Amino acid sequence: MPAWVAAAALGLSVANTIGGGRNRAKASKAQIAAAKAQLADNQVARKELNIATAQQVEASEADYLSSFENAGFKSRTLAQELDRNYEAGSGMQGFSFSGQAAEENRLGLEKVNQDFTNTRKDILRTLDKTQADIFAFDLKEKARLRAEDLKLKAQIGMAKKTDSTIEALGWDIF
Amino acid sequence: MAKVKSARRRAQESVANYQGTMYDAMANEYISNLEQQDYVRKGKAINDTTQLLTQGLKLVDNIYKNKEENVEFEGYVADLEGASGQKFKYEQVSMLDVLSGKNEFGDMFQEKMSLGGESLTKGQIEARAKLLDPETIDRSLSSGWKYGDETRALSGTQKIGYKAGALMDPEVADKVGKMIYEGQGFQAWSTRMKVLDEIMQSEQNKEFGWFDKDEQKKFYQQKDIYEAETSTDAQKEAASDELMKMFKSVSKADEQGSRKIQWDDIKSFIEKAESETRYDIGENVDDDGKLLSYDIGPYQINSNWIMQGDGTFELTKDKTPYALYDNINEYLDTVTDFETFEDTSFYGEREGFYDKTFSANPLKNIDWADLKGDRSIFKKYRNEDVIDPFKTDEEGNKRKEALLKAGLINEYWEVY
Repeated sequence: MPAWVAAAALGLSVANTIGGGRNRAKASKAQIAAAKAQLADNQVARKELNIATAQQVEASEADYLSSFENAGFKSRTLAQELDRNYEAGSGMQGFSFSGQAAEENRLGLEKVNQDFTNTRKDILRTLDKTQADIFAFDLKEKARLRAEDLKLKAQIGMAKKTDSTIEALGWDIF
Repeated sequence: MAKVKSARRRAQESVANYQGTMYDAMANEYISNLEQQDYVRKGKAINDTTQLLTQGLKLVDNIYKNKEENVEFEGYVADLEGASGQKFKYEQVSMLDVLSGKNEFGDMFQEKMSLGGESLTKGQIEARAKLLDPETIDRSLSSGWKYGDETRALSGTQKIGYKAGALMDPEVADKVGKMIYEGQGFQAWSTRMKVLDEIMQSEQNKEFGWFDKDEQKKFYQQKDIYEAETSTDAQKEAASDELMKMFKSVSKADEQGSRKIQWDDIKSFIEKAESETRYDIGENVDDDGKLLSYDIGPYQINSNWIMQGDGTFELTKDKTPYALYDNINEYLDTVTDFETFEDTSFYGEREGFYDKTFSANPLKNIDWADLKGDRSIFKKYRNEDVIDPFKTDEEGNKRKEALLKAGLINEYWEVY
């Protein structure tokens, strides 16, 4: 085999190796750019998540207030109705029945109060459950984004090891 | 006062934290995979680099060994040249030779070597050189050939090659021989002693009476003195002078233009002494064994009659044209009126590939005809009909083979 063939083969090998290194370096640079863009997107997502959480909490509190007012209104209406019935009943039936009517009225008002208390507890539970879900989602999403950031930073770190031809070829050890 | 979280909320946060640790674990697994891949990449890079370096070192080693072998081979060639006095010829088929059509692709980088017209391989040259007796080697005779130096024929010498071939034609050789015989004289032939000896003893001499008994007696006396080992140098020189007078008298014309022996009568004696076949080619060497010229054809006509330049018969000692040389070549021109291979030392349209003085436009300075068209380097040797007028001529091919074997011409009739 003429010497030039061996020289040409070596030349091709060198060109091929260096070409491979250059391509690898280009790919690494592209990978770094993409990962950095994704990190920036994650940062934006975090801000959006904070806003969404705050808005959801606000909405749940608005729901709570609305439900509480409705229950209060309903209880007050029932109590007034009981009072009216009691006053009207005690006037018509005479004094001998007034003790029994007063007792019945008291029991009715107690029940209305108890109903209101139960309803208020339900509403508060609903609020608690809703807000717990909101905060849990917030926490989970932030944890996911943090893990994604970790992965992306690791990608960047690895890609930086091969973002020049010399490094991609492993010749930076010389 | 710190806000107390409800049990539900704490439970949900715990679930979320648990999910977060799962994400972290998955991320760490991913990072671990990345690091593994990086280790594999590093290992591969080191492996590739090692292979590349090994290949490079092998190449350097091969080049070094090749160089050593080449130097060794140059020594063998020098030894053979020094022992034989013959010139080594070396040719290698280049890529351009293949592209231009001179050689087939399969012949690329093929080496051709010959010594004194005999084709030899590298191995044969080495073997022969090793068998030489060191006493017989005179390295001062070697050409100093370096490995890779190609022996190239002289450009534009195809016509001279044709003339060399023509000197093997009986009719042409006869006419040129006659011109030399009558113009320079019988002494021009180195075998004159042998020829005259033959003539003296021939039936024709008895018939025509060219030399009488006294002349014969004188010839043999001088011949004996000249050839005797016991003769002194002075005696030999005197005998040589006497013999030369006799040689000259053979072809010398008198006032009427008649000669002692006419060409037609002597030519058969000369042919018999000089050659065995009409294709014979002899070599003339000096005292050091250096090749001076060739003798061609049935009358072994010296190649200096057709060659040009120093050392040939083109000019006389005082650098004036030699009329006999001109006459011979005028005649030979008429019998070698073949188309010659056009000198395409530059191909294309003009000399060189690029001429910066040609135009201000760099593109116009390029001689594109070098690369395309009938005059491109790729067509240089395509038209073989023009290159060799004897391609289908058996007689011409025999002459060509003889000249090639002698190393006088190359395959395109160009003279070395």
